[in-house]
Amino acid sequence: MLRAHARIVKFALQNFFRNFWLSAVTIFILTLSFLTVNFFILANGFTDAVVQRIEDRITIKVYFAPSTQESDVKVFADQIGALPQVALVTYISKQQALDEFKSGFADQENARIEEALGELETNPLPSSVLISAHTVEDYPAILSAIDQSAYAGLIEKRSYDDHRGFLTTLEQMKKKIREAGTGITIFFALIIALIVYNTIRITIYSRRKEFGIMKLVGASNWFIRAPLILESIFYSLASLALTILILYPTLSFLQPYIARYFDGLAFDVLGYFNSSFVEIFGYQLASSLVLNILTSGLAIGRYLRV
Amino acid sequence: MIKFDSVHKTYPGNIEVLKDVTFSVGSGEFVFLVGQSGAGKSTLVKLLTSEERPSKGRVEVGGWDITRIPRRDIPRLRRQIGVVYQDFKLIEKKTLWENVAFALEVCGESFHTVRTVVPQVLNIVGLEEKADRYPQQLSGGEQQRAAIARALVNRPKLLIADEPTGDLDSLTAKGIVDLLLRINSVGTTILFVTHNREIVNMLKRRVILIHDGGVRSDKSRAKYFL
Repeated sequence: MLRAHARIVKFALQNFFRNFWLSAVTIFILTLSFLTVNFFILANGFTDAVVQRIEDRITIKVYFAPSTQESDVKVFADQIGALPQVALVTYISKQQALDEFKSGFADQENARIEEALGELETNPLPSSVLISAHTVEDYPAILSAIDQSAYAGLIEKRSYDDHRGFLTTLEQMKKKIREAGTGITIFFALIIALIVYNTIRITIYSRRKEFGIMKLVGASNWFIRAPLILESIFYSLASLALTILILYPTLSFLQPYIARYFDGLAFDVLGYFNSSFVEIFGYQLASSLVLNILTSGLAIGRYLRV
Repeated sequence: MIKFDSVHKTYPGNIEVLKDVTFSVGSGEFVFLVGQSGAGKSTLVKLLTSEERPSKGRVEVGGWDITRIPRRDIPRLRRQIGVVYQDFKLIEKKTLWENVAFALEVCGESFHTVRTVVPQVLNIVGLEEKADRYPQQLSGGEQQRAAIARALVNRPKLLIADEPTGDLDSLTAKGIVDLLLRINSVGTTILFVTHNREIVNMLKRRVILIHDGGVRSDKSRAKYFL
């Protein structure tokens, strides 16, 4: 059995290399398809990084009326901090707010601010609570809890609404890129299937005499069909390997330009592929193998009469 | 070795190619199957290799009733019969060595057996030096000898030569006939299908004459007359 398998692999390799141009053209087109799919995987990763970056910056900042007792604000902060949706609560007292405010100015300006504050006699800055959620989807629940809080009447202002519109737009954009990526991936999967189907069909047509001879010599159907299926597996392996060989040097070349273009967004494209190498290429390999085996099986069943 | 018992073959459209063919060939015989083009010789060969099935009657090869042979058993039958065709039927993208080895490989022979037997058989047909060549790099006679090597490599009890000299000049044809005689001399049954009168008359072996789909005559040590 092992001997028969070894021979099937040998015949498949022989066919693969002896029909070099047919194999080369098939691999070239499959590689282009893989590259396109990977481009969309990259675009998806990039938008994920952008959204994540923005999400990280989103917080709810609740400002209390200046007359509010610090103890009330602390109780409020503890209550909100106990919510399961909340990741982090930071209480900023009036004094901390003032210190932060002052630290933003140079010494000379600070003296003038001190003078102005002295005239006011009291610290005009409100105490506040900075709230970070686990995910963006958690914010509506937190906002609702804030509105229903016993301390809601003491709240002067909250900052979350400023980000909501932008975040919604971004989420929609992310969804659209994902949808486009899925659509294009399906489209290219169909192209890959058609290419493999056609390659096997051409192979069967151009070698029909050879298959006939093999039958007359006593080859079983499996002995004739299996190398063809294996050839389609080689197409998958070779084209994915070629895709990786093209993708990595290209991305490492483009990495500094991408970093410069998207200033401030530290999206490491190579790191993105490296961190999910097995998932990204494993899925592509697995799906193209399944697709190619099914397609070549279909073409063999349809065109190879053995 | 071969037994045809009241065999009929009719193709769609009621085209009757074989009519009540009955003959048998014993083990170790050298038999000519002769007849004009269209007489039904090739159909008889196709029945022996199970490329066709008889419409009526019974066909046996080596005691195996192949009249209604299941499809899955056909490769096993073909591995036991060596067949040489007029157009050689060598695989163009395989070297001579690979063509011959293929017949062993489909039988699941070990790598060691392949490496040992293939050179021996190529030596028998005088092509050991040209083992690495592709069929198109060989002459017609060499290609036919390669086809004989492939047919022989499994040591078949029966070798069917279907017009093996049809495309060859008389000198090369004689070489092929000599080779087949040598193969027969070690006990292999040879069914030589031909319409080459010169070869038949030269050897004076048993001749079965097929005419209009039936056996017209079956004589030992005969000549080919029509």
